[in-house]
Amino acid sequence: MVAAALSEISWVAIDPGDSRLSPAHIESVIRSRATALGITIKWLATNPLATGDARYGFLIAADYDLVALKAQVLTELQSETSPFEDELIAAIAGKEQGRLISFPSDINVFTKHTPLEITSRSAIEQVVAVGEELPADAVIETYGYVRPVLYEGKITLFVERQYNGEFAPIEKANPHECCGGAHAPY
Amino acid sequence: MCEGHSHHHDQTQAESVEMSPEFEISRRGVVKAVSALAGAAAIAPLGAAPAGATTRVEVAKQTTNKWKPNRYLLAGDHHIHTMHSPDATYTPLQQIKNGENNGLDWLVITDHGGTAHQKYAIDLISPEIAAARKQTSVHVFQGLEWNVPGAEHATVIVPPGRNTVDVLKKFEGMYDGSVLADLKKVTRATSTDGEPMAVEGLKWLQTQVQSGTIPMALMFANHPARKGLDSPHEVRAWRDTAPGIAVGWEGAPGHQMAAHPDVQAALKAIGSTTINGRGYYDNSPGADSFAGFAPTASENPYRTYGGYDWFTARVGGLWDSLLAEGKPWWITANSDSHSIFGSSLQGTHLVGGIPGNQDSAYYNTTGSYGAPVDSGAPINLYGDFAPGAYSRTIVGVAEKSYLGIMQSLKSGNIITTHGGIIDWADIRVTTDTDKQGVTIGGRTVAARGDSVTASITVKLASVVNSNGVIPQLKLVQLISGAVTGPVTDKDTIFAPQTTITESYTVNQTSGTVTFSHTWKNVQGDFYLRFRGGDGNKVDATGNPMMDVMGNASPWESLWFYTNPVFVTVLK
Ligand SMILES: [Zn+2]
Ligand SMILES: [Zn+2]
Repeated sequence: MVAAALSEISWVAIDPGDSRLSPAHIESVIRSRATALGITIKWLATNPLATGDARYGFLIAADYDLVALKAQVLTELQSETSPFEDELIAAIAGKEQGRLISFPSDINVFTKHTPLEITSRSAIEQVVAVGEELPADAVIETYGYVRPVLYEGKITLFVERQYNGEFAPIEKANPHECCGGAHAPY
Repeated sequence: MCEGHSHHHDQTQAESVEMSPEFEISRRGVVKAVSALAGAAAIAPLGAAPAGATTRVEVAKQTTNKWKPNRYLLAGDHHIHTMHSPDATYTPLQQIKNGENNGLDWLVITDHGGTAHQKYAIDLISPEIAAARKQTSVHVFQGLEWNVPGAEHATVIVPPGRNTVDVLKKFEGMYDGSVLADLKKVTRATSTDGEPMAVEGLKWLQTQVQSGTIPMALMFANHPARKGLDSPHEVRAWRDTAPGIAVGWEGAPGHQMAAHPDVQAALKAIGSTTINGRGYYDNSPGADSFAGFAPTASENPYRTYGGYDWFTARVGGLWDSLLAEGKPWWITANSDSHSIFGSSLQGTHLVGGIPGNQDSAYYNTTGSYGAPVDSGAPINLYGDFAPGAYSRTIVGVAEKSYLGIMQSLKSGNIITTHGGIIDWADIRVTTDTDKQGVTIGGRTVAARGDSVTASITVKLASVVNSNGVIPQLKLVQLISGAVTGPVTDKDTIFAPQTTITESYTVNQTSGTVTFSHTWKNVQGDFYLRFRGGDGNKVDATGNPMMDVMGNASPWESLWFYTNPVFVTVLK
């Protein structure tokens, strides 16, 4: 559907460094500030796989000048421009590493899809079933939650077989935090 | 040859926890013996034996876990929760009786570390455990499920004694990741800036042992691959910092019932869209996960394989990578029992009236939910087994005592079973040089050019398991690999030289079976281990398949795993 030329997008990185803020909170600050500025976020990514020093970089891309948005978000998070910005952006632009929260798509994520529907109607370039060949007529139930990752140079949605023979993305909206106070996410 | 799962206990030892003077003396004697043995193991790294040291006495000095025809096999579980965890249901006595009824000989109560636990729960549970010990023949350890700073959870075990509670309380207050996060000393309980605190915590425990405050302490990492938090360099740092304390991890996590279709149906019935993974392994990489564990087209480290954690189930994976260094790292299998499938008991202070969904705000000000109440009907939302009902950590012990059990856990004389797939297994590895040989968790020595024979004797299941059947073992695998020495890259994940060396088919349905393999003309150090199963859900290469979300009955893929034996070839 889209060329998904991530290198042609102008990205900014917001890396909260050692902030105690949860990723969900950071995301909500980014979205609320963007709304206030009248900015539509087309692409939003994290780089959860580059850690080793507690980095959790958020990357935003939109058809707007993002300088004001970035400044406001950093102020609200009481954070500063990350020394890892270039690294985080390069990993996304080069399709090496990262995870997409928002991306161009006109799939209704609340319904079931075949792999072809997903790749032809969104920026996702491939759907991969872990450990098995994904049948072309596979039914993929997204539960309204789709977080593709960059894998082998492609925007990739990893799926797995589930109880009813259908497939579902391997990243769940509410995985078990399990233990230490989180409620059982029934 | 072996006693099997003895349900007879050393009452004298269990009762002597009251710290009679005799016990202290005998305990000190045991402690002395234990430290001498541990010291010998610690200063004799593989490959470092002097040349020509082949007299019987000298061989005996260099081997550990010598094979002996008679010993006790005690089944246990080192990972159990009570109403003194923010997310669990039962009283300590209820869980202990559950374990006793399922044939356990020992268990460890491990409620979650945290501010409220440290502040309130420890003081509440300590007298409850002490009282419960008088009502059971099971050896009941008081432990902790430590939030390892920068990492996953871990069981910490301290034997009963005068200073046990004090040490556990101080340790938790200073080194629990959740406590440290509340004190804003680390970013999050699991954030990588906490990693040095984990090492400090282990050093502190070591000091408590060295000073004689406590005779022993053990740490086993729990559900290690669940969220990708236990990076290889962290695990190696724990092991190398405190080799007598940080000795292993759960080869298989608890919550083994979670992906059973009946649980899935119960979830659907309350309108939930949650699809459980076996072991509640349903996560994906997050902010604190190790990058090397990212899922690929061929495997997902965040899932279980045949009920076992990917670190252990994958041949040539992280466990083998640790063993290939020639250093001990042992596996266990436990229930992580919080709320038991089919139990009618539900906890108090439920949110939305949903069983298992308790209001931790209440716990946080009390450290206890109080005893559960009977709902009058089986609750199938629960994904756990009772202690001993499915997962067993079976140790071969010389002495039925608290320290005897801990010493065997430390020495690696451990096998793990699921669903009663076997009664027990015994391993004997002999060489031309060491004719007596060693058993599970041991090290033997061989001269260059020796033949080395590894035998496993398995007592096939003779007991109806808690699913109402006597399971049938169908296959046994010998897995072995070269010992290549300490890694330079502490984040090494794989040991490509470790493979399934031989597979055996089991053709009988009862009694014992023995399989042997001989390596001729050995030239270098290596290690070996065994596993076996019911033959279900095994792929073409002999490996367990990934468990399917929401449809992985724990009864449909049963495995046992043994711990390894190391072979040192004298240079
Ligand atoms: Zn845990
Ligand atoms: Zn637990």
